[in-house]
Amino acid sequence: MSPGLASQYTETQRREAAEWFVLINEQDDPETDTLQAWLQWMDAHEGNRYAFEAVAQVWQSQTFNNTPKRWMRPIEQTIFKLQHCKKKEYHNAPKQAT
Amino acid sequence: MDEPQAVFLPEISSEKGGISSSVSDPACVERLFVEHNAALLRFISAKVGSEQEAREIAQEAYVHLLRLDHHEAVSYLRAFLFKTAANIAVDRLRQRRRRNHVTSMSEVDFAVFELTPERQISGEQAMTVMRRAVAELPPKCREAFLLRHSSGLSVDEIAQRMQVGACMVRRYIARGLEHVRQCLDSQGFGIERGAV
Repeated sequence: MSPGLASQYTETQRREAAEWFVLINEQDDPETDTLQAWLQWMDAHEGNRYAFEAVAQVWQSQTFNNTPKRWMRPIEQTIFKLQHCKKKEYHNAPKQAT
Repeated sequence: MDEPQAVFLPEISSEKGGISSSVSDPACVERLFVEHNAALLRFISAKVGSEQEAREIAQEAYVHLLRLDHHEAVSYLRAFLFKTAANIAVDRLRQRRRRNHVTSMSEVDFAVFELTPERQISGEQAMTVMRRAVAELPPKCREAFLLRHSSGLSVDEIAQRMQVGACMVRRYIARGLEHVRQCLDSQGFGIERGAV
C-alpha cells in the first residue's frame, strides 16, 4: 500500500474528476467544446490529472463484474449467472465416457 | 501526456488496392491529425486506461478514416475518427473483460500465487474496500453505478429504467465513483501513474 497519487489531489478535484470522467466516458463523439473544456480542466492543475487517473482506475477495475447484483431482478440474476458461470461449469463438469 | 504523441499514419499513394486507393483528402486527414490527435489520444486513454493501447486504437481509427470513399468536411471526418476510435476502444474493453473473466473464474487459484504476498494482500484488500464502498452507496446511486459499470447500459437507458433524468443518472454515477475512490484513498490504497 502506498499513498500514490491520493495525496496529490484535493477532495474537490476528486469530485470534479468523477464528474468529468462520467461525462467523457459516456460519449463516443464528444462535442469539441466539451472535449476542450475537459482538456483545459485537466491541464489547469496537475492535481486535476492525478484525480482523473485515480477515478479512471476505479472504473477500469474488474472488481464489480463477477457476482450477480442484489438489486437485480431474479430473472436478471439467473441470466447473469448463466452468462458468467457457463465456462466454469463446463470445465468443472464430470467428463462422460463416450 | 503534455505533448501530442506521434501516431503512425499509413502512407497514402495513388496505387490501387488497400489503403492506398483511398480517395479521402490527405490534407484533411493531416489537418485532423494536427488539430485533434492529442485530444483523441487523451480521450481514448481515458476510456481504456493505457496510453500505448490508445495509440494503437488511434492508428486503427486513422486507417479506417483513410479508407473512406468520399471527400468529406473536416467536421464529419473528426466525428468519424472519434466515433471509430471509441468503437474500437469498446471492442477492446469487451475483449479485456472476457479475458479477465476467464482468469477470475477458472484460474484465480493459480493466479494469486504469481503475485508477491504483499501485492496479493494489497489487491485483495483493495477489492474488499471497493466492494464495501459500493455497498455503502444509497440504493439509487448504487443501482446507477452498477448498471453503467457492470451491465454497460448507457446513461439514457439507465435513466429510462430508473425513471429519472439523464443528469441525475450522471450525478449518481459520479457520486458512486467519487465515494469508491475516497474509500480507497482513506485506506491508503494508491494508484500508479497512469495514461491519461
